[in-house]
Amino acid sequence: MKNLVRIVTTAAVAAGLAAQAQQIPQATLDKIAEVGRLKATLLPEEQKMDSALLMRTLKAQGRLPAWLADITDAPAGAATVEIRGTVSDSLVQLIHDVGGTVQSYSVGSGLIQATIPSYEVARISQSADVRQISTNSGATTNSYSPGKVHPLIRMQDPLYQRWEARKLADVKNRKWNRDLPMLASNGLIPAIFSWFADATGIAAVGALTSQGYITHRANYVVNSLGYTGNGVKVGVLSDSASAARVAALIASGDLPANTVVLPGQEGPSTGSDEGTAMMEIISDMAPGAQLYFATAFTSVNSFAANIIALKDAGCTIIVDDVSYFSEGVFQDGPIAQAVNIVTAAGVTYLSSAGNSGNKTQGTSGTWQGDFVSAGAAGGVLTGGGLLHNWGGTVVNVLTLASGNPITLKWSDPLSGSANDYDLYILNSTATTIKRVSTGFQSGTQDPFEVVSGNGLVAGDLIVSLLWSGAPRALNLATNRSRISINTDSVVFGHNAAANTVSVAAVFWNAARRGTVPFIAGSAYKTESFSSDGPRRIFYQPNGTPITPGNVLIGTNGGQVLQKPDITAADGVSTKTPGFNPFYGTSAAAPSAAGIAALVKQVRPAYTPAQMKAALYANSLDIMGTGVDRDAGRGIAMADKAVAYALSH
Amino acid sequence: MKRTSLLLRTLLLTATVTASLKADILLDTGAIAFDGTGPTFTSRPFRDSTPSDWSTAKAFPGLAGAVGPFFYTTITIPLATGAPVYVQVSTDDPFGTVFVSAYHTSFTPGPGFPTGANYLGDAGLSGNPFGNPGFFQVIVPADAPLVLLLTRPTPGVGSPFAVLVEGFADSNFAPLPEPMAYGLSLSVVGVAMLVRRKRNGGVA
Repeated sequence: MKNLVRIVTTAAVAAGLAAQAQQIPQATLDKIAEVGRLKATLLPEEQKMDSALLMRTLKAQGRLPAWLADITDAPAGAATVEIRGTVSDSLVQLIHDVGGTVQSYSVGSGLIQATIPSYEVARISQSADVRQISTNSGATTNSYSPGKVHPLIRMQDPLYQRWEARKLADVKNRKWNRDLPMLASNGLIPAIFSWFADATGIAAVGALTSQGYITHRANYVVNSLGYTGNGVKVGVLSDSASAARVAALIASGDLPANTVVLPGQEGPSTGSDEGTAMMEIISDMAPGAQLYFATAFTSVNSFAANIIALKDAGCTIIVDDVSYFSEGVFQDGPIAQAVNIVTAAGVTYLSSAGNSGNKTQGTSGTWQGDFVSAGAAGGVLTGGGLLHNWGGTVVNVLTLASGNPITLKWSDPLSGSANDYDLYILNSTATTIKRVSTGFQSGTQDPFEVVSGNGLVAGDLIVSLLWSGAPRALNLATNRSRISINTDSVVFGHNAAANTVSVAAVFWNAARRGTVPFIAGSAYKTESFSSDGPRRIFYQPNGTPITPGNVLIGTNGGQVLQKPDITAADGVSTKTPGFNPFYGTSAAAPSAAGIAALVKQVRPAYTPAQMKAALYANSLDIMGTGVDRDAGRGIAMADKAVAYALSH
Repeated sequence: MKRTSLLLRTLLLTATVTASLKADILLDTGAIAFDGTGPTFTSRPFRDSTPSDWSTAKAFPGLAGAVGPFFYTTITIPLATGAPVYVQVSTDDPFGTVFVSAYHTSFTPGPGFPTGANYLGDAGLSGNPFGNPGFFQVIVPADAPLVLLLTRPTPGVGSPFAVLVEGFADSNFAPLPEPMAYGLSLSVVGVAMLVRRKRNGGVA
């Protein structure tokens, strides 16, 4: 174990924690310390594994104490893993030799996604080409739709609890035997719709149109100025766009007939077709644009590759609504680096800011700040490790549990973390350890720990500790859960990258004014779930420190990016099942992308910087005065952006 | 801007109901509330979580069961249009108990419960998703009045809510022809059906 250095412990912090020293019983602290001692015994190949793979391996070897074995998954028959290191022929051959399958790889990113037998994880990690091997912590789209929301989110979000309670009450009290015969006998069900047969031919553009078409004044640009996005190719990345749904929407006029799904990239068959809902919005805003789709849900590698593929297909506007939980917070990862590549080639890239809440409206589930040792007052971990003081307490209470993973990241470079932090979840009385993430960081791994959100409930306690190394800036993200001690700076990853136009969400009728153009001022505010910024980064994409020797927030290290950049409409109508209305920054991002397509027709040669200038020009200031952490530069408007383009 | 006060027999108005604020707004109730003195149903339409929209006709969802009483009222908006009207109804209901259904031509209740005769659609849900007004869309046949059925259980009495009704010429939010919009501004009528039923001694 490395020595602890530069631990920050002030007298004031220690005094503040003294009264709370019993928040974690000594018996629980002893178990945490036991994990630390176990960690000190790991073999070199075991140090390359993330916590989930490590615990499964140790469990299979009978090396875990009983209490830890009980909360550790049994080794699965096969594990889908991400292998970071050198993508060599010998490593690929080794994966095949052990019965594994390489699903995707990127030599440039040094990343392989593969499925391998669980009992062969250690053999793979023994390869000198392997720097780190970890499970795929997953991804999410950033929609928030009653028909599509993650089941666990739906169960635990107070809004959904109220909806579901009422719906269940209706179901419970419904008397089918009485009602249905009555309705049928009265001829009430089908006959009244006969007049619809005559009405269906009335729709002008598709069966449904996004309200954003009006609220962003795209209708003025299309009808009065004559710009429709004609000649502009817009690429969309989301979970899926099935052939059947695309065909149905083309038939109804809600997607253009020349819509293209890149071969083999329609996404998983279990997908929600969120990509078609996004494309519908763009088509409503810019009906002349040609739309392309590729999935972002296969893997990080595939997502990055598909960004490039859409650029290669001729797309000059690309938009996505996906977040991978493992993406770097303080440095561009593979997805953000793909964004850098396409923007350098002239593509304007937009992404959803995320739906993980914001400080202003009390919905943040993120804590970001520098590590502060709780010192001895926070509890003694025999054998090493210092508990983190979140702000007067060593536990951060989960006040709303979404079911999504909880991640801890810190300000070390990707694939180069030499400071070792760990993450624990305790029950509400701190008497039981429910989750453990204690991956090893010795200089070549990512600064990343993650625990599954499955089975976590409101009241559970989040604990972080520095097992070895130096204080760093920390980012705890609960990904749509909420915590008692929280901060701003929720948006992260490629969704908040320097070259991404990060889009916050505002409901089209938040001001209760109806389907009318947005106005500046206090009438409109961003959605309560819209992720806020800003985003501080400490490293260049290649891992070079932006401010060498200063990687703490308190000393103003790194660089602060103003994120999100702009705001656009959500809660709009689409015809894709499950997305009417379509809530979330997933809907806002294509609303903004549609505006960008209109501008691109006006100025095909616009660089991304010029496009940003147009989108930001005369945007409508909402939330805080001027540029702010919630709405960025405010609501982008099609008429104003095009007017700017016509004169610049 | 033209304002028209309405005397709603079963609605306690806490703000003036306004009509035709803009060409596309057919009704803006402002904040209103049930006062608990009107007629009641033993049941109300089943909330099936599916908002109706302009792309597909929605079948009457049936009834929620006898868990009332549900206070109810209707608001009739004549639409002398000569063409179908694309109507969008937004309900701002922070207390989450009001349920609005749309009918065309007229609303004819059954004995103690609403029926599906002339039913057009509803929001599928009560309450404000993420704090925002819920909304649904229906297409009203040419020259047929739009009738809104508003229901609320006893616990919600007194809680303010608002209903905003917009009308368009197509699914692309094209404005209604000016003569029609003008006519609408003069013809918003509340609870006509309810008043007539009371006069006739109908079931409350």
